[in-house]
Amino acid sequence: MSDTLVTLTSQEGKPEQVPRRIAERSTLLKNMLEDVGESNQPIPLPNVSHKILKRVLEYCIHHKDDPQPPSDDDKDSFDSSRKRSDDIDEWDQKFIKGKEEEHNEELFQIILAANYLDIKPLLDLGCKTVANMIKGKSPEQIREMFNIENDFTPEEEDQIRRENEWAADA
Amino acid sequence: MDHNPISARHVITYCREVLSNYVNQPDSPPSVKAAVLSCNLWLLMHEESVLAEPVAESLPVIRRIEQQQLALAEGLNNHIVPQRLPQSRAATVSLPDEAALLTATSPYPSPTAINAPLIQRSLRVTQPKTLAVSLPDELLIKIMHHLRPRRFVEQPDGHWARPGTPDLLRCARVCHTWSRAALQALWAFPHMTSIEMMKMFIMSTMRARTAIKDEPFSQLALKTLVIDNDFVRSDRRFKCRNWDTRPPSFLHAPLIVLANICPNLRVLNLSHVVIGASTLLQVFEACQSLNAFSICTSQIIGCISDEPPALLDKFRKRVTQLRSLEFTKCFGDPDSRIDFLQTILSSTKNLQQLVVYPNVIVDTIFNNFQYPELQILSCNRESLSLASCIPHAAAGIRILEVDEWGLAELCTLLRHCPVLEELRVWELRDCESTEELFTTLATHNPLLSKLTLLTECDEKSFTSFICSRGAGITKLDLVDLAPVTWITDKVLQCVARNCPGLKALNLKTIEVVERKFTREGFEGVVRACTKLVEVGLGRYQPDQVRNWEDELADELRERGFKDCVWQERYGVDPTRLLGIDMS
Repeated sequence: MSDTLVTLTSQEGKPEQVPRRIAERSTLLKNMLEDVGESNQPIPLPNVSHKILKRVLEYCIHHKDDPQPPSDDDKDSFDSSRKRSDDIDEWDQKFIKGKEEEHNEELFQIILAANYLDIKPLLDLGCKTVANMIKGKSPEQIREMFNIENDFTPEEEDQIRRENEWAADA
Repeated sequence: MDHNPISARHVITYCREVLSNYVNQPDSPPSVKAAVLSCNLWLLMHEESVLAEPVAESLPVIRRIEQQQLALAEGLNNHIVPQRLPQSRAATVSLPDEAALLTATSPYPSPTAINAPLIQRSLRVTQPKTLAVSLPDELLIKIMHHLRPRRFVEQPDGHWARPGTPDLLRCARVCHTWSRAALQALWAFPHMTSIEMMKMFIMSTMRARTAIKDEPFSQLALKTLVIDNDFVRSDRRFKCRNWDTRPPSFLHAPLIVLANICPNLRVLNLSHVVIGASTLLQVFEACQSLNAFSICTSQIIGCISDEPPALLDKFRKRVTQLRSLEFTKCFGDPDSRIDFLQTILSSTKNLQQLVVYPNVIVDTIFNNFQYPELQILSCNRESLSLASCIPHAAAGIRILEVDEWGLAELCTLLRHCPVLEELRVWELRDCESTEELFTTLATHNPLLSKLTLLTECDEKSFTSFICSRGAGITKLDLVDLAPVTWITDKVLQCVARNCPGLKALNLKTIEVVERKFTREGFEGVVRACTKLVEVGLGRYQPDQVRNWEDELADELRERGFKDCVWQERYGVDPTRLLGIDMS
């Protein structure tokens, strides 16, 4: 059954066929497929564009043989190493880097898609990547990098700095 | 070049959009609304365009309008109404340069773009809302949590310190949306490594409470507070410095203030502190929700049972709700330590995790040991008396960690832990053979899946155990110790044959011991145990052995191999046990 093809329909209505085993890297799709049983009906993914869907599937294909990550309530997962942000493997780094010119927006789109499709390792990868990009940057550099508008008044910004002074470098 | 015309209509539309941004601000003055209304009125009255100029030529006009708008905003700010306009809005009114003006395309066309394509493309008055600020809060918080410091870092002067959280603080200053997420991550785990930092934290908290009338603090309740005094590392032993010059009152005032500021505190970890018994009582009195408490490598001054009875009664009532207690390596007056431990243990009945390394032999304090909910127990020889008490009281233990226990006591305990999932044995005393240990495990602990044996074992009893119970084993941490080395290729072949579900294999060998297993044995496990994603060969292995990991890297990487990170000795995360969401 794991070799059967599943049709996923992107936001634009474009179909994308993938082996069920690949689709099941997504907990959302896995649960849906289990619920509907054997069916040839395409699964609509209105929140995911075709371009991002293809990227997500590329990730799922590469990681098709990975063990399923433990769920949040898995009592086995006492290992704190999972939380490290500097342990991204080489392939994942290249994958998430994508095309330089559209890196940031695409990165956030992948994070949103991973969250929607419930693909925890991909979501973690995206979040770690953003965190690594942020590290050591000033607020202004972060704004510039992600095209974020500064909606703080100088007074507000100063207030935040003062109220959280204890968290600055000792 | 074919220029598109720009009309007064477009200019007014532009003005209206700029002003509309201010209208949406909570502190927007009425005059801005009036100005927007005027623009709307003008647009209604002038259906046709009255001004037609090529785009490039109209730039000075547009810039002039922009300046006028800034002046208008300033005027509104300073003269028309005394209320403050968000200055950052003015700062975002920007025009693209000429080249960009003719080529720029917004990736986010607004609904009005159909009617006014030129204006939408060329006069983007505010930046489009990027996905970086459109992410749901829970995703932003997830990102921010990756910026929290995880580990202590050795400083150039030999100090070990956890780095601060400047990245989170910087994120909090990016924009309002990011600020919410960053502050939530920042305040979820305030970690103070010096008294100066603690004082600063108190002052910040007090200031913030005055400024924001407590409202955000209902959402930003402190969950965990770690107070870690200065310490230096010397020959792998942590030494506290200047303790003799610091009186127990040193921490009293700031800790009491903090406890009162944070009545919702749920987890309190104290390490490397000198603290008076009365201070502890008052902290418990102030923090009614405290359900996890740890005190490590610290000194308690005074006996808790000498405190006023009324205060002591309150303390006893409070600690009944404790679900996690860690009391390790404290020092100073032994009576104070025993008294504290006895008082707290005799009052709490709901413990799920108990880590007790009292640094003094304790005999009687466990006499009334009744913890039906206990799931994690970690203790050493000083708490050996637990062995005779637990069988009647702790059938729910899932994780057991013992250090320097005797084989007989351990086996007695294991026989009464039917749901044990993980066993960690650091050193076993009075142990001629591990046969009894493995027979007990095979017979009485059917759910055991993780085994850490940092003690001498014998090959025969281990392989026999693996043959019978290997199918359920997912993690093995083993060590070869002098004078007997027992991890051989035969042992590894046995593991390879019988442990199909093995996910982690860590083989340690101390430096002076000659390793008995070869690459063939190691590779056999890697190839046979297809679920293996974590292997470790210990820090003292020669380079030749460490290279095995690299040589088998491709195979391992395909399975999502992660370098083995040794779990901290006290690495059990109480937050999982207690169901506390730290993320």
